[in-house]
Amino acid sequence: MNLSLPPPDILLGGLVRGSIYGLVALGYTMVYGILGMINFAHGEIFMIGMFACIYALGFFSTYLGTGVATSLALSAFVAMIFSAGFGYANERIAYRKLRKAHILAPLTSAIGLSIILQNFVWLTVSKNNINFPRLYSEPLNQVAFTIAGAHCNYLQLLVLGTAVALMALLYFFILHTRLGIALRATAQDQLMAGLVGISVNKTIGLTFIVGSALAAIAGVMVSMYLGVAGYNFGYIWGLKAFTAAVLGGIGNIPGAVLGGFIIGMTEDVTCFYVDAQWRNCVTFIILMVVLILRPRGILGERVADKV
Amino acid sequence: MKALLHTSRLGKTFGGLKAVQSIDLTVESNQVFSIIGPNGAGKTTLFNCLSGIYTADQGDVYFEGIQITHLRPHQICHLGLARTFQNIRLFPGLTALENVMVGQFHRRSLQPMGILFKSRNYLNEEAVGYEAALELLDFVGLRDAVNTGARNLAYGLQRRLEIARALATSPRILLLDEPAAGMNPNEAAEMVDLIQRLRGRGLAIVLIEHHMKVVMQISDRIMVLDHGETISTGTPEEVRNDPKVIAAYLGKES
Repeated sequence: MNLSLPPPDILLGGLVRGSIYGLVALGYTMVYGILGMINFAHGEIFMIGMFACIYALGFFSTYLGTGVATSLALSAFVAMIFSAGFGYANERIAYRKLRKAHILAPLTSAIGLSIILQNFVWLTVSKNNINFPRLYSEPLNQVAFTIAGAHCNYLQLLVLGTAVALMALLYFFILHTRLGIALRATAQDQLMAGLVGISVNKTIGLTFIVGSALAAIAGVMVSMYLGVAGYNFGYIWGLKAFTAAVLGGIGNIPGAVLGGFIIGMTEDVTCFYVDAQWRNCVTFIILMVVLILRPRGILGERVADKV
Repeated sequence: MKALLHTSRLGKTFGGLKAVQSIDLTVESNQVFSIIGPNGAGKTTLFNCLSGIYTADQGDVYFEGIQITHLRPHQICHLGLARTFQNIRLFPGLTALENVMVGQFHRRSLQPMGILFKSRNYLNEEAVGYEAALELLDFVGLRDAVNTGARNLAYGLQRRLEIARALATSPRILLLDEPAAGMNPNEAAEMVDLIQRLRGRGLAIVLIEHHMKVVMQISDRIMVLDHGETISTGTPEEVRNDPKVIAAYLGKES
């Protein structure tokens, strides 16, 4: 076994991977914060973002002949719209009526929805993995700069930069805008939020839309990074992001980001010290240990906050 | 002229229990209307029916002639009815100022493009809203606690903040559920003063209160409930001398 420090490139890789987990984890944690439920279909929303983007890229380059950067930006936007639409529809159809039901009802509904969406894409879109067009990702594979021995290419820079910017934007939105205050108020006391004039349904719908749009961006970046997308990608990425949210303290926004980075780092460092095939085992063992020591997650809020 | 708030034969049943039944009440604008009665008489249930938390299963509620019986709480709030709770219900994780800003939220025209590009309209509205929120906090005496977390405020201040948040929704009528509960005579006197000043702002107030001194001092009309039914309605003077009221409070001989 290798006992030297992991090379900077490995750490950078972990950081990039972690930023994507964090972005997806935000969706889990926001929905949990406002509804107290785990939206297990969130991974599928992420996967739908991947497919929407790749198909939109094909469409834009074929029919509109737009340039590389424009096509990418437009396609990412289309992916956000698609995912947000699906996310909102999920809430409207599968969760809204179950809001007052026993906690297992929306949870089971979410698991069912996850399987339905996965199969739907499998049956109607593609049973095999599809490639992310290399035309769009190739130019980004050159090294942009070297920092502390880590070779950062443009793609990594793009992923990391976008993820961190979106996280910061979301954090600002939640903390400092009136809509964000309304969102926090709804999370703290739904009935009271209604009584001071906030439309609870709209606020919850908005939460799903924002979380889903973030997941779409994560999906676009993952498919660019890996070069492929598949109908079953949402499952493992979703679970890892969910793990990140729980690790950081579910319901806590900085916690989701922190959890994402920890999981991403753990995976890549495991690949270096042990073996890539062991990374899932190690990741989840770490999750268990952290939860045993801190059942509410690293930045988890006291239960009293949720009264 | 339509009454500000009016109910006709309002009733709500839980299982076999008639929590309130056949309530007819009329509150005119700028009036202080008190509801008194022994514990369990149905006062808070009545408030819940008026504010949309419960939907009455008999009778109707009208706000300025508009039927609101089946509206959702936020819709009733938009029309201009706000309330507070007997056991204070603030947003504990928000600051005093944020609690008030939540109340203002629905009055604003949130246009996404305006927010994104910080249009002049949006910034104006933002500044006006901020000033209005500060004014309300000042009005209830919370000027010094603007950025304090709601959960860290003293009990009496929490009650005041709840009133400020209700005011932020720009109501025409304010339902106060035992605002002086748990207060000493001094604090209760301050609450009376605050309620008088609320009326000075042109509001109508429906008050549930156990402090008889408070009730008799500020009410224009009083309604007495017992076992979910109205046993007396009238001016403080009339109610005080009603034998049925005296019997309900002191216990009937059977």
